[in-house]
Amino acid sequence: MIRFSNVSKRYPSMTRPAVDGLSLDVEEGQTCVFVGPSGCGKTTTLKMINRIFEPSSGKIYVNGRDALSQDQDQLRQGIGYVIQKTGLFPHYTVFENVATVPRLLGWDEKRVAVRVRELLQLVGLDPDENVSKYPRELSGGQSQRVGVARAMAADPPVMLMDEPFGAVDPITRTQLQNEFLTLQQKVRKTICFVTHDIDEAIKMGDRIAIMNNGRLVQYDTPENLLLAPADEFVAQFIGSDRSLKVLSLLPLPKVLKRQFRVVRESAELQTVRASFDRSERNRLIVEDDHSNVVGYVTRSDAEKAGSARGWNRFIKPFPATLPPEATLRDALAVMLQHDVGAVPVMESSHTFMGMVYLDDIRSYVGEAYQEREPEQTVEAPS
Amino acid sequence: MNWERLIEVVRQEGMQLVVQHLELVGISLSIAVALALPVGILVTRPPFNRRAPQILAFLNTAQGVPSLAVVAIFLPVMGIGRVPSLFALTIYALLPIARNTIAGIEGVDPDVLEAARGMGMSAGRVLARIELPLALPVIVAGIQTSAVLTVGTATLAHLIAGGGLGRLIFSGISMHRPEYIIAGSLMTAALAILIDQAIGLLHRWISARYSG
Repeated sequence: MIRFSNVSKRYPSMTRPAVDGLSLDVEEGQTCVFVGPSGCGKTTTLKMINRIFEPSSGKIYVNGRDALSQDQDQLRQGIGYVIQKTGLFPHYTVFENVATVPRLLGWDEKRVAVRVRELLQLVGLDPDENVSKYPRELSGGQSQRVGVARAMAADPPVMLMDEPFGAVDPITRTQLQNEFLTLQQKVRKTICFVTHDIDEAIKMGDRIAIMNNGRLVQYDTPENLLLAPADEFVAQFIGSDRSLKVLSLLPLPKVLKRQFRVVRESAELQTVRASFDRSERNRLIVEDDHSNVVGYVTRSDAEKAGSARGWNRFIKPFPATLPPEATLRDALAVMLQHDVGAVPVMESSHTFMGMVYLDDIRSYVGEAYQEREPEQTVEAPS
Repeated sequence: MNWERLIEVVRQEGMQLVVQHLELVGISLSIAVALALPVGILVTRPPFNRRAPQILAFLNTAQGVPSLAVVAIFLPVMGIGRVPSLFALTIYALLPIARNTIAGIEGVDPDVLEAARGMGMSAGRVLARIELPLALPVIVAGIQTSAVLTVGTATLAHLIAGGGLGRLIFSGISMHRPEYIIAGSLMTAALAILIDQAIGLLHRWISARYSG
């Protein structure tokens, strides 16, 4: 979808190239995040795609076509562009801002109006409330949403985003990131995204391009980047907490223990004890008559219980549960917070799916590292 | 002071002098806008835009030349009368408008420009739809400054037989009649205030519409 072929950019005032012999492919529907320290060439790289900067050498293809030989304005009309400070036109209303590219393309006003309302809804803004507002009346988060809507207005297959969430507060940023991920699930654009924040890169990217001094150091999936950094620079840039970061990429199902014995709340004590006899675990999941999980009972409590129904008072509710789409990082956080070694995973908060154990997380992450760590080469004696 | 004589003069010639004065101001200001606006815009386009800060500095310095000097400089070349007066006034009115046009366009938020270009607006469209509207309040402020300056400077046109309210003032000086001086000054001042207020109103309306 986007292809860099040996692209370099030199500025007359600089001794080394800002971008040096970059070759890389971004596949259709994927988000590629360019990340690196300031001056690494990531922004220059992004802005060469829509030719805000012209490459000094090399070729760039967008949609299979040579970007450098196309009409500049036409090329740009087919690429959504979101920048950090939004760049909303202060003298235009939200409507007029979003309508910019469709109007450039000569859409009739009816179609423009329908599209603008659709887009505002898509980015989570009430059209009726916002179309006639001016940018100065919007909050930072709202402005950025309008910026995204404006970039998507003519439904371009490619979007460029230059630190789009860099200028908002941390809470709004997280919210915008999550909304963006949901949105990207729906629209599946090919996106090039620049950030200096490795955590944002890991969260947003299907692929991450780590750059340093104008060179591409590693281009890989977030998992591979965290588990097998190409060199010392990448490892340092990712940070010493990379084993923690990788947790947020690993989904729960990998460590989920699904085989569990379940008893009904209304069961006799005998049934409960029989279940324990057939299980090597020390806990039973307890459901009500509608198969909703109400809590658990431990082996020792079941043994203590005297009468047939009296065991019910030993049912303990779970202090915390996790949704199935949670990551290992969420699981670990919940375990630490509630000081437990196991957390149940519940679909729509009452259907039991399985348990996650601290020990399983530990051994799973350990295995993941062993698998991907590059083999130590044994040097032959000379 | 002979007030009765003054009232008679004002009655006979006052209206005519005001109209003459307004003509001087109106014509020179219109020409100045017509010249300074395109020149100012040109300065902000490549390849001149690299030199825009220096050009701005030059214009600011040029504004320091006294108005009387401007009139005097052109006297040997163009002689006296209405046309040389208009010429000198126009030159003088150009500077604030050109200066503010450049400053206004240069002052447009670079992020807004990058967004506009990045969305595929042509350079001409960016100028017409983004840069000029956003610079408009500053440009109008320049025209306002120019207009007020010109109303004052136009009194000097009388010195080179250009007509206008200067006649009352300079007659008063040469004939030792302070009432003429006072009347001429007051009328000039009133005109300046009126024009200033009128353009100020326009400026406020535009600012409300076009500022960020």
